Amino acid sequence: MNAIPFGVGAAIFVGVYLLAMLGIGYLARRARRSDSLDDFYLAGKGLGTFVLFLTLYATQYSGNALLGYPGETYRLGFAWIMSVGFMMAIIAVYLLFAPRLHRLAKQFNYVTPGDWIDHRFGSPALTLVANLVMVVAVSNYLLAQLMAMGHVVAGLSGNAVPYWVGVVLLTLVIGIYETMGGMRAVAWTDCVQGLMLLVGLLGVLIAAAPGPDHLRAATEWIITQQPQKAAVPSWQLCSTWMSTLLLIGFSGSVYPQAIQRIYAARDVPTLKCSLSLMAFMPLLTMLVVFLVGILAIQHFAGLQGVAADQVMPMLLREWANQSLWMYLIALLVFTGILAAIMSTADSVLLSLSSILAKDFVGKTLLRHAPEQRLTQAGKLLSWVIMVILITIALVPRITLWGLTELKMEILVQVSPVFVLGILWLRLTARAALVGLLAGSALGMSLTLAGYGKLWGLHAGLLGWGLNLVLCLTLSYLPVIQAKRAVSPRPEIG
Amino acid sequence: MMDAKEESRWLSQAEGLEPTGRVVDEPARRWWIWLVYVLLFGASIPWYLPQSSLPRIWLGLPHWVVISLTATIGIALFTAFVVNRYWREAEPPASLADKEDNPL
Repeated sequence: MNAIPFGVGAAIFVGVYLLAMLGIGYLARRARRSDSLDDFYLAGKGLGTFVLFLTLYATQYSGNALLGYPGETYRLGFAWIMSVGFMMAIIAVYLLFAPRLHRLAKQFNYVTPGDWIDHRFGSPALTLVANLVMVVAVSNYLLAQLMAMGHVVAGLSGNAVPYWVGVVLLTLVIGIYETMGGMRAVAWTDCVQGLMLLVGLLGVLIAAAPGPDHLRAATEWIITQQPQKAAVPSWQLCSTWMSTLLLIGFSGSVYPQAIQRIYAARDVPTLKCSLSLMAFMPLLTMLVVFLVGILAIQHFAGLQGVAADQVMPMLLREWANQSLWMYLIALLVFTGILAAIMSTADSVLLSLSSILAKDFVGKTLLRHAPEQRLTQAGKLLSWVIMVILITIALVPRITLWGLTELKMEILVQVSPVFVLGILWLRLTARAALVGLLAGSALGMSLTLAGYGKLWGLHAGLLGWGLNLVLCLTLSYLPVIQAKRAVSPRPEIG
Repeated sequence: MMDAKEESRWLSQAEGLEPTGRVVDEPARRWWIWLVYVLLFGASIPWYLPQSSLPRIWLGLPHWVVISLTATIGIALFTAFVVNRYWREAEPPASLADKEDNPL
């Protein structure tokens, strides 16, 4: 990675940012109303519009959006405009199930995604399998964020701050403010981090803003020199484009941390306003990143393969060396990237700890324990998760890094349980379970066998198709229909 | 197992019924909204454009990118319209009224 000539001033800037995060965690702790699970994991289901919108935004857009997507644009060319659409697809899928799920969550005091599954289907087996799928998917996602924190800090500082210090220090900061304030701390810090991400994007826009002639010249150059990156996409690529819209739309909307934000919204107007705003954020975020990648095709011509991932660091170094003004912009973009990674990591960690505490420990070891005890167990589990993932992140040989590619492929298999389960009361627990298992098995086995895509369609989407067919057909079978479960537990929460 | 009263309440909530029995309006209840989404997302993928011709430049970008982007802007505007026009809910239960003064 390309080192940026950041000095003491930059270190102080980042230090102040990290201290501010801890301060917010302390304020969130003082604002708590009780030690209940609802208060710790969902901020008492009282998030207002401003906080809900920014926490949704900061959580949905990880560091990958700023660091990885310019490289994707560089490699694929103009067809990466699909990234604007697939982030919008997530919001469209929300509209299928979020209104009812929010209403039910308020009525029946759901805390975890598993509470909904348990309540709707009354099947411990389905709840367990769905939880396992979500835990595996988001654990990999969290690991990827922790490793990204280390790489960003080490790479951009020219190893002045070693990789392990980046991983351990930033994870510690997240762990401390999250343990102090739970969802309030995460959501409040997300506000600051979301704003920093927006400021970083603004910095990118100012530094790289193309005039009409500049953009036209870059496009003409690409059409002449690398025509495959500007050509109308082939049928195969259009097929992948459609597959990506469906895969990201249905998996991104059922991330546990996303589901819990639907629960945590104060009321319907709050959720409506936040989702309305979120519909426009891909235009402000992905489009800027897309344009940066397009301009880089000409500016840094000749990068091959993974070297294209260095587009943003190379730009930051270039800007930082130009003038004091551009140095400040590079610093803002750098902290924006850091904020984007941390805001995703803290939300995922909190969600993971809530699932483990309530749906696993709370149903086994602490089956009859009071909520206060479960909240304490959740805090402890957060630290256990952090220690395990830090260990894996620091020893790359035993990483699960390769599995992160499977994240969306398996997470999408849970979506029928939420979307179809909400919309179609005939869906049975057994049909949902068989569909989930068969879809996950097909998606994972095809991917691991090297068939990540068939006819341009992602393996996970093919598994999802099988999952849906099984959900629909098995729900109509008489023997299963007799046992269909709209038979919730007597008490939730 | 839950009693009949709770099951009735659960089904009502799941199906979008207010306590009065009036149906709550929401996007999932209108099929044409999803047809429009399919058309807009379909238009955002340039499968219908000839693949052999050289791209023309509109607004500094290849023409098919501008067409795709226009459809995507349409999706954002349509989503905001649907959320504000076709998602109307009953008042929250009285037990939640104390959340209203939350400063968050």
